[in-house]
Amino acid sequence: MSLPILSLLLWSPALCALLVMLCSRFSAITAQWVGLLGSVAIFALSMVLYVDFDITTAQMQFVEKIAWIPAFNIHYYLGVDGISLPLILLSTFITILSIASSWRSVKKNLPQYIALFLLLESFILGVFMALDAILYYVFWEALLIPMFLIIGIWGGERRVYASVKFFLFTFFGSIFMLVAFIYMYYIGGSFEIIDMHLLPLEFTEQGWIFWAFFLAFAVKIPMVPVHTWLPDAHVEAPTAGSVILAAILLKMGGYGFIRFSLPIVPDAAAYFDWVVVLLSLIAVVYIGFIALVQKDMKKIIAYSSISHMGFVTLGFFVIYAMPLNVSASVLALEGGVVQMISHGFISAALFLCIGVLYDRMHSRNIDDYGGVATVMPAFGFFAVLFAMSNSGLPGTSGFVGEFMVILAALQANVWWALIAGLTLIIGAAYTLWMVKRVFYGKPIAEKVLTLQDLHWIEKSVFIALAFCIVLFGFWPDPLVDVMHASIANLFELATSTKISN
Amino acid sequence: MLIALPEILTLALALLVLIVDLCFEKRVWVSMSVSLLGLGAILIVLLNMADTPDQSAFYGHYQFDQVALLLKASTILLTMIAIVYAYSYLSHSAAFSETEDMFRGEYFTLIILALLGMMVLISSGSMITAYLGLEMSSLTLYGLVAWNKRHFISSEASVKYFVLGSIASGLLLYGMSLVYGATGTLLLNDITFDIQQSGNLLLFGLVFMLVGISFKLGVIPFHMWLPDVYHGAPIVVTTFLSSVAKVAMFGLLFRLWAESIEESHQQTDMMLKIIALGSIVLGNVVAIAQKNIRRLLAYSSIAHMGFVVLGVLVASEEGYSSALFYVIIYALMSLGVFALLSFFLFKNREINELEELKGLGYRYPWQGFLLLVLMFSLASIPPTAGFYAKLLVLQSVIGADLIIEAVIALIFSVIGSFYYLRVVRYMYFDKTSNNEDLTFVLSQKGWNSTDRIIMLILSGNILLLILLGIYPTPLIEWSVAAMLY
Repeated sequence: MSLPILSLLLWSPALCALLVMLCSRFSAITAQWVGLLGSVAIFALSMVLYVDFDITTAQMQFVEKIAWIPAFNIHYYLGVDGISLPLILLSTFITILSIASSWRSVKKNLPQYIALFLLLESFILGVFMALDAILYYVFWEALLIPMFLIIGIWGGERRVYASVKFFLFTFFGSIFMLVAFIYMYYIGGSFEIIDMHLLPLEFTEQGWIFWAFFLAFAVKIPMVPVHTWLPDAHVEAPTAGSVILAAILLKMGGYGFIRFSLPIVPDAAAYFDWVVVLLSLIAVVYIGFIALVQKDMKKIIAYSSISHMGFVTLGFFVIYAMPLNVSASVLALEGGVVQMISHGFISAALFLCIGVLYDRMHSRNIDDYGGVATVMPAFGFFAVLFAMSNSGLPGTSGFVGEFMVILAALQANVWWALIAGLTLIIGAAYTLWMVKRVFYGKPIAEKVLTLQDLHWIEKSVFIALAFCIVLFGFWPDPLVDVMHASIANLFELATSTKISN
Repeated sequence: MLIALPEILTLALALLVLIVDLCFEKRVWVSMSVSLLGLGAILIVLLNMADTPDQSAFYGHYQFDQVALLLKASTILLTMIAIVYAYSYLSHSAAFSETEDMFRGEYFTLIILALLGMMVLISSGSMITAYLGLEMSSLTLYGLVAWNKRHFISSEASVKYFVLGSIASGLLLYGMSLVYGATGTLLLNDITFDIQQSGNLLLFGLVFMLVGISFKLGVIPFHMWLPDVYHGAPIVVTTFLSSVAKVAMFGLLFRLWAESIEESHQQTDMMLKIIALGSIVLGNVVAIAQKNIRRLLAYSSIAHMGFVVLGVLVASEEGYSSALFYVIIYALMSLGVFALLSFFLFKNREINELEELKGLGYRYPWQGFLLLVLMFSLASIPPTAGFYAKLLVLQSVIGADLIIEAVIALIFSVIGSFYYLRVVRYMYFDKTSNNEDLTFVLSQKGWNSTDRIIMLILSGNILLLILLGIYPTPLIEWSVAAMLY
């Protein structure tokens, strides 16, 4: 029997969290180091997956399957394919950064904070690895607990409101998914996601299941009009909490759409595609305008996240507008996934930038700043780079995904592409305007003049992120190659009808 | 007649503890140890009967089956844990304000007698036995609620409980007599409820029986006593009332209702549906408005019992086993949460208001963590056992094609999760200066070895919820197997 690498990867963050808590009884510093080094080791372990991954097949790989609750045919069933692998790597990578970035900025109960992040990492990995619907749901719900505590304990002024709102919104969305899972279990007799992909369903059933899934994933990703929890949660969460939230938790919604909605209910997805496309376009444009008028930097990035995630859903559902155009559809799906990964890096980077400023000035208000670049040149360089990639500058990863989606949308419907393309203008407007007001001009406040430039920990975090953003901007192949076979398979499932006659 | 051996031994034990208590009046630990050892022995005797085939005795008035085994085993085990908690609480109670002379050995006699009643109830084969067992446990519980006898609220709760409980028992008995009139038999196995044929008399009787059962179970619209009693009773009694008694009352529901109604009927289904969904809706919504944590937990208990009734409503083996699993998990959670709260004092009296929990998570990190686990388990968030309880009920409900009901129940349990989160919020999110008024009884004067052991048991009780949350299989399999008769 080979080494159960997925289980190892899945549970080592949780064990590491336990270790951190144990160490914190003796020395906080040791505990912090254990947490940081542990997360690096976990990332290294996840790279093993990447190296051993076979890119030629759409089959689930590294599969582990053990009976868990035999009475209801529920299994402990893990596996990875080309769609979940990049997200797993993203999660392990971002966790390192979020732990490293809180090193200096969190003053209260740092070991507990780190332990919660590691626990969260375990649950996140579980979501991306689970191939049994109940196992998936367990992880999906479980990660609300650490996130709720992170926002509630270490958050800002209105943390209670934000954390409870976050919890209730997501919890409310996901219960319908649970009902859909159980319903499908009674039809098909299995909770395995792959069996559900092949389960024949009538159109009415598909419609109900589609909306059940839609509620769960639309809240998570989030789409208009159920996005209102996100700005609150982002603004109140501590920096690293915002980073994880934007970089990874939102991706779970996108992952849900392509793992569940498209393959399980293809006919309903094809029928209701216009709803999703419409909401995506609204998100791209309308939320972009909302971002433009914000005064709080974190709110701008939060709204920008919603707007960018609109591209992801657009990419996933635009395929139904061009059922015969295989290459464009695959391009759209891949574009959506690339956009998820790239947004993971960019939003993390931007939230970390705001965190750097907040640690020094204790303000997120744009009006309090000005001329930061004159006193923090290194920081200014990184911030401008990240802002550029957020507005989709060619040569950064932000461009690749958006470009792929727009290119595909162009072949489906010119107007959609045109509206989606507006984001290149609006996105640039709100991001660069913010950069201009914060980093350039004359320093208004005296306090700005006393700012210290980046600490080495912050610098190394930013270098790592900048490297990824530029690397995938110029050379997205490592990412696209991995997912190619799985996306082709997904396209196959998403466009073949399940209705019997 | 040996299938009644556990009950016979329990009766003997109750009398023994009474005598022991007379001899060692000042040394309560002796009575406690005798009760614990006795109950342990009874549990072993009971578990040795696991392979006994289903059978009845006393001309069918008494029956033994796998459901009885599982329910009795869990009531005995939960009672043992409750006795340990109670001993610790009572031994410290002399120092509390508003309490008087609570540390007496009769407490254990009463608890064991209540347990005896519950065991008889669980094993009942006829309506008479069920009623006998029910009254036996109820009467002792009325006494226990007034344990803090000079305390005003405690006495008030006891009288309220007694009066309302007696009315409910009366209604139950009246219903039984009508059912007897309609069917001509008292034995549950002989009763075939064919409502279409027997007509309105039977239905009339059933309604009265359901009223009595609902009262004892604490579901709407007969729930009014619950918050008052949970609030007024000494908190150790609430611990017992909300855990062990709930398991036994599931036995009542199962024996009198589920087992005798073989197939579901439109009229009876409708009643159960209203009771189940109404409890879930009302329990969860009203709990939001509570400021007193014990009343909050009382309403939460109403909502949870609604889920149990929902499982019974399905009227399939799957439904019954899910309800059985639910009630056992709920009892574990309830036992843990009330026991943990019983060890906290605010200004030297029992904890009442939610606000008194402020800063608990920082002042007592481990206890705070335990309460956190309990709250998420009560809100049925995985990976805690509470999730699987809800999952199983939902599974059986959806399997019976009651999807709307499942969705309503779920929506209201999301609304309900709000007040559990509020407890967490008070513990962790409010930045207060150290809450000096809040003390943990066990560590008040440093840890001695008894306190350590009790803390260990309490932690084990609560961590079991996580353990069952990761691997719930043994208990699920047992509940499923028990219903396959």
